[in-house]
Amino acid sequence: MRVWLFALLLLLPICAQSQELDYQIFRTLPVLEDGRLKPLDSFAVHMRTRISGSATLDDRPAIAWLAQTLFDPAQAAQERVFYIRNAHIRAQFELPSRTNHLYSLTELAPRLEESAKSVTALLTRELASLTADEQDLRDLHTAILIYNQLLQSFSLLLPLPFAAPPEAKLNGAYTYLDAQKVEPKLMQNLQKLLTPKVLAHPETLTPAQQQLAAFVHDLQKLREGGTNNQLLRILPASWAEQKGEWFAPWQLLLSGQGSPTTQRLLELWQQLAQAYRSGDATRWLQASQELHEQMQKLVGTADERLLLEVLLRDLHVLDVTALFLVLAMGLIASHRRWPRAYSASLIAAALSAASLSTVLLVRSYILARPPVGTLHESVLFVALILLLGTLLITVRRRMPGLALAGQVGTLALLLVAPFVHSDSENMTMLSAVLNTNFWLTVHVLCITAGYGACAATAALAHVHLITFKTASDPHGRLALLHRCSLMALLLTAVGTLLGGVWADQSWGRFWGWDPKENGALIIVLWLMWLQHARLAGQVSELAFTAGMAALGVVVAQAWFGVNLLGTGLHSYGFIQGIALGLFSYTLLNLMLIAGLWWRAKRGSHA
Amino acid sequence: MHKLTTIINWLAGPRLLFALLPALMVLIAIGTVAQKYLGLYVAEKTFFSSFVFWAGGFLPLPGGYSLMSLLTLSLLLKFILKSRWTRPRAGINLAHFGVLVLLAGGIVSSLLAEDGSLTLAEGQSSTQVRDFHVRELMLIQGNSLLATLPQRELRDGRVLEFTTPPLRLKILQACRNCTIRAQESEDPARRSMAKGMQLAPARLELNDEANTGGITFEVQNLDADQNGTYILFEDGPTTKLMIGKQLIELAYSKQQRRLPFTVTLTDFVKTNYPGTDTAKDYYSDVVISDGALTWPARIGMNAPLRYRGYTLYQSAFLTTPQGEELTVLAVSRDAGQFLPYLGTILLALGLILHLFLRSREVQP
Repeated sequence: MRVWLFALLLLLPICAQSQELDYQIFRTLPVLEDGRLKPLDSFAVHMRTRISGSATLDDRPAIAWLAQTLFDPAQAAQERVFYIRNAHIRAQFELPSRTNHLYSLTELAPRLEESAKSVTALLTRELASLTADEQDLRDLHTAILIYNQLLQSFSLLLPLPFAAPPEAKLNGAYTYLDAQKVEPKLMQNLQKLLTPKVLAHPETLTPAQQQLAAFVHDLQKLREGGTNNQLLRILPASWAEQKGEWFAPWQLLLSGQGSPTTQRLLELWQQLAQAYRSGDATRWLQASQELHEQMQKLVGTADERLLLEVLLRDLHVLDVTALFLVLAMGLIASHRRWPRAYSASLIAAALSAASLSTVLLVRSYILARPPVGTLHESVLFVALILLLGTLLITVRRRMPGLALAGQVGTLALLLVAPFVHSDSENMTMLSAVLNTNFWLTVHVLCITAGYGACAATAALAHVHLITFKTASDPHGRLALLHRCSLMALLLTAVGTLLGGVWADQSWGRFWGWDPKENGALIIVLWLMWLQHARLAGQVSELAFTAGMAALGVVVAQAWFGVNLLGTGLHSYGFIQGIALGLFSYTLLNLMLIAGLWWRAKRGSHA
Repeated sequence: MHKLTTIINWLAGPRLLFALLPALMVLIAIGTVAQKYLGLYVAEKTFFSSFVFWAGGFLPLPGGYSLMSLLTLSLLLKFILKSRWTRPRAGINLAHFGVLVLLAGGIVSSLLAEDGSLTLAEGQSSTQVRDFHVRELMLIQGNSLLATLPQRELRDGRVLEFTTPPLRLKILQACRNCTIRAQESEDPARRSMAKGMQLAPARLELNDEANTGGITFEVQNLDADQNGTYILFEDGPTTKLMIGKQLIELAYSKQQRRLPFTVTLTDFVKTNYPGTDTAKDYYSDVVISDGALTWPARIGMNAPLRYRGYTLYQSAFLTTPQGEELTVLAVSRDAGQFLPYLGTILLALGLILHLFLRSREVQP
């Protein structure tokens, strides 16, 4: 399979190529970040988003930006990569106002030391106690720190910009790795030289002696810059006791964990750097290929996951899903003029569901766990269940309104999905308590499928409300809504209780009134209330339908609203910044339901 | 008799349920939002583990216990008296029975369940479980515990009379979360630690376990040198009193319970995701000793150890400033632990059966 994936990747239009160099192989090289092995392309996107706030600030792909940052740091320092919208911070750094709000490290440098002092004090304070300006300043310094680490990642392999003293015998371009071989000898010479008399009068040093002192000092500074530089973990551990660990180049060198294998890898990275700096496309490709082959031997089947991750991004599968949905919506809108449009719409929706399933399955394979482990993934899964649920009904019964409602709802969820992860990296590893494939499969899939069934039920109820006066089969309509709500109740109730069983297994209690547990319970109670009220004749058919339409709001509050509280034992999925969106959705949906109810009620009286 | 029938019919009828379920939803919503401001423990005690709560401080409203009790009674009566035992109704009856079992589990757990934690360093053994929330005043003589009083009994102004040993204490101030301040003015009535420090109530922490409870009290029935004001606070030093010829120690800490077996930690293992400080997994290898029986066991994430009605879970771990790793095991004992499992199975089967039997045609 690996060969086919690689061939497919190479066949794709090389979107990464804005220069002459071919990044297609380079971007699949493995790097360890956030506890998982990922392709360099994902690392580049994540880093650029963290530093610049977006992975696509200019026409240049993230991988090209990363290559420049790693291999040509002097030029990269001139690049405008820091997004500074805050006018107070711009004033603090004496930066000019720009429409794109982008600034380079060189522009920030003059005021950096002074600003860093105030940030040190901010780091000791709780995030919530910081003002917006202070948070922005802190974020900027974090971005600078990350960028600085990237810039220095290969400073041990790149030609050094300072002149070596003659006794070092380093002719032509030399690197830190070359210089460190002669450093002990130079240090000895310097120590002999620096007598107390000389230290008292350093001006007595000859220019050659001064050059020696400066050289040793610069090497030490370079090494200090490499200390704690652990960001770019591209070198696998060679020794058994560190199995699974990966090292950044400086980290490997300073910890003395190298081996002949890592030395060969470093040589290949150095060749890549040289090829990049000289713009030699052939040499670049050769080095990329050789490095890729070497890494393939070391990571084994993980290489397939890396290729799939790059392909998933390149193929824009979620965009394809959305496109099929838009097509399906367009077709359904024209089904009265063109009778076959209804079937065509269902086919487009089915293709969309297949595409979304592919995304979830591929993610599941890449992360080696069930498809739903984060809030972001739960949104994708609920979207899939909503689409499949409404598709299943509309295949059996001709219901254009429901088909459209399901497609609109799915599209809305796909649009929401990018906003519900706390970081630009949405393939994250799970905390220890969640790291169990059994419970992720049994509980999480069941409860999120329940949310999906609730969304489909709410969509059906909305359609019923719209066509309340005109529906030809009110009995069948109500029976369908009842069956959908029963399915939703089954999945949410069992999912919630399985969550209790999981909690009993890991926390020692079945029920703890935790916000996420309570949210799920409210959904179950809402469904039970409406169903019992309908059966007992406590509510009218219209009120039952309106209540089921409001199920969407109940689910949204239970699913997202509880995450806004930021409290409870389920300390994952906490997000901020969606409160306005959630409030708007709730208000608009309730207004819509109230309006439809009023219209239907007026119609039934007439 | 007619009145009783009317009451039973009302209790088992749909009208009560129609009002109960939304009331429960509102209570849950309020109790959930309140957790942001009160913390889980206080919010749970105020709204869910209570018969009444006071909205706005003046309006009594039914708490979780009231609503759940009524719901249980209503469902029980409905199940016994009103259920139709026909094949198409099998699913719904089974589901109702499942809910009853779940509610019964809730009642049993709220009455009988106890939980706490056991913190161990490698090589350490213990039989003592510390409650998560309940604090108590203890009177100790040597290794013997003479008397205990839970925190809820330690109210301001209350006089406590102990017979063994003969001791009279007056609680001047009790605080669930105390700030320890320096005692600046010299007060000849203050004794021991109270000479140099005083306790003042502080704002409650959202996480109840982070609160430091304490009491300021007065000893009233001993000699003049010992009568006076003392302070005690959680995990602080004990107060020593000579009562007759006996040395009695007063301590204030989280309630401790003894396990009927000993747990020894042999190894604690934490595995991080590579290149990060994020725990991927952690587990404790322990040895359980019960009389002559001794055997090794592993307690891991999502893999508890159950023995003699106790369940030991891997809860957390701590690293001391010296770098020593401590494992924190949660220990619970719940006679009703099996009921939620049974209820879940019954409810799931009932709903599946109901859905596929299509037991009842919709009546518009």
